Amino acid sequence: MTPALELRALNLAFGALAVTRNVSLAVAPGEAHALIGPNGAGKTTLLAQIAGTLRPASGRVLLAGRDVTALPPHRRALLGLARTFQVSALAHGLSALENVALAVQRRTARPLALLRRAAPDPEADGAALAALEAVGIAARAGLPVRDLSHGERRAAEIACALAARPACLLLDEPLAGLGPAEAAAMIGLLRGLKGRTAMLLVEHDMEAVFALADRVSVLVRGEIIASGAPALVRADPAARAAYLGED
Amino acid sequence: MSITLRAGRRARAWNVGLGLWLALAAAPWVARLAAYPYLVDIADRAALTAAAAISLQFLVGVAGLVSLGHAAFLGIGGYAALAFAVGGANEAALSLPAAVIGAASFAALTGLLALRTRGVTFIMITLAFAQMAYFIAQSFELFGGSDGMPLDPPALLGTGLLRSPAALHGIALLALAACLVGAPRLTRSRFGRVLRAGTESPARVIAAGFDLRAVRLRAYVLSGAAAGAIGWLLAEHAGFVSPAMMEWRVSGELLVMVILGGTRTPEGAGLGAVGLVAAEEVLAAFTDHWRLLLAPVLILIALRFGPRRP
Repeated sequence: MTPALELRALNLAFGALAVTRNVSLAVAPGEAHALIGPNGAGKTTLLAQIAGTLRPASGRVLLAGRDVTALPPHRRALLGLARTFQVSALAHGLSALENVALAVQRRTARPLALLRRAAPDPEADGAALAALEAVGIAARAGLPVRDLSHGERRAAEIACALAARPACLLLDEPLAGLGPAEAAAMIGLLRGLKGRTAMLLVEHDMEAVFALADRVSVLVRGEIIASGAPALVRADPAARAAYLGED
Repeated sequence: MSITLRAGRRARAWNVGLGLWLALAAAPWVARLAAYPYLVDIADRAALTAAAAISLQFLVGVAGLVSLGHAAFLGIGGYAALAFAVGGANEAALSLPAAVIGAASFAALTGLLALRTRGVTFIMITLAFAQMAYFIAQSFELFGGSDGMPLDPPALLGTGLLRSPAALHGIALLALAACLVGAPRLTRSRFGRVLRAGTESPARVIAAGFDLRAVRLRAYVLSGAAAGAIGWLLAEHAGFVSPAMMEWRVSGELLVMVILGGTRTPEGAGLGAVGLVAAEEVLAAFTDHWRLLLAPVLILIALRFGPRRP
């Protein structure tokens, strides 16, 4: 089967510092693939190359078999790639619903209609509210994002991504800064997405990684040093030394 | 709660806009009562300036694009009027569309480059393009060079409908009404929401699949086209066109009007424009150095109402 996301021999250097070294990986449709590694390993930089905000120096990025290496981020988004950010990137003056509705609006027949009212927007609000429902914050839909808690913002981020009905979802530390109860809810939510959406997940919480991931890749100094089923990676001495060894 | 607040704000915006418009519309009657016919002229200029300020407010307050070159669009509209008058085809049905298309094309070409930059660089590059337009206008000997040239009122589809002061008054008010009604609608539209979200979180808008730069270019062209039409009206109203129309000081004054109005709302920009035009008329009666009197007022307003550093 064609992978939802495939990276072929990506390389990128900032000056003398190689931040991505010959990285290849494939995420099958519906699969949850975790990317782990110490701070500074180049995980977020790799996500940026997948999303299109950074261009690799060499190598290819393929979405569902289509080469998107030369496409800008918004084109990749339209091809079914959604992402969440390490630091929430929501428009704080707009309501949670409006933030999510933006993604839905993009997929309507007239996403930039000049005179069509945006709020309320019967064409977009339904799907947006459903996405907020799915992440459990539908009751807070009408509040401006600046009035939401940190956990609610993380959930709203996910809702924005889900509302686009992505084929592939990039998650940059979705659990960062969440309390135990919020984290458990988020893990439950992401587990519910498995099988429907391919996910590439960067996360430091190992418990969450092993609870969620079908496969795990270990990134160290820009290079994948181990990749496979969670149990295999957990047993790999090099991977343990690089990352897991510290607990 | 937030819905009632928003409804209250909208009602107030509507009241401010309507009040402003009615005050300017009443100018002919007030002028007759006060036996001061010049008042109509001031009111028309204030209405057109307010419309221009609103077209800039859309860029600054909604699209987050602080331009210091807005006068270029006004000037291009003005020179379109003059070009048809000089060329012997002084027909509004030709020159007004030319003004709009000319200003929109200038916006598209310069915006394509300017929108690669942000913040202070964007301010400087819009200023630079406007200065280019200014110096090109100065070099047109055919159009009077740096002195400019008078022009006769245009025909409208062969008729003399536009040749009365009443018609000009009506059209100036129509332009202001269009801006007062149109700008909030655009702001609240799908298009406007993408722009608003883009000022707060560009990454979110791009991740949603929007080509943010292209959306901003569209806003820039739209605003430029509107300003082109307003420039055409300013030229026809003054009966005179010169490079001074697109001097950088005009761009700066428009920006001051937008900032005076709080940058957030079109009616605020309109109020700022009318306030500044009125202040100029009143204060200039006392002294040639009226700008010096205005400066402390601006500083006080900025300190009292402006955003503060923590």
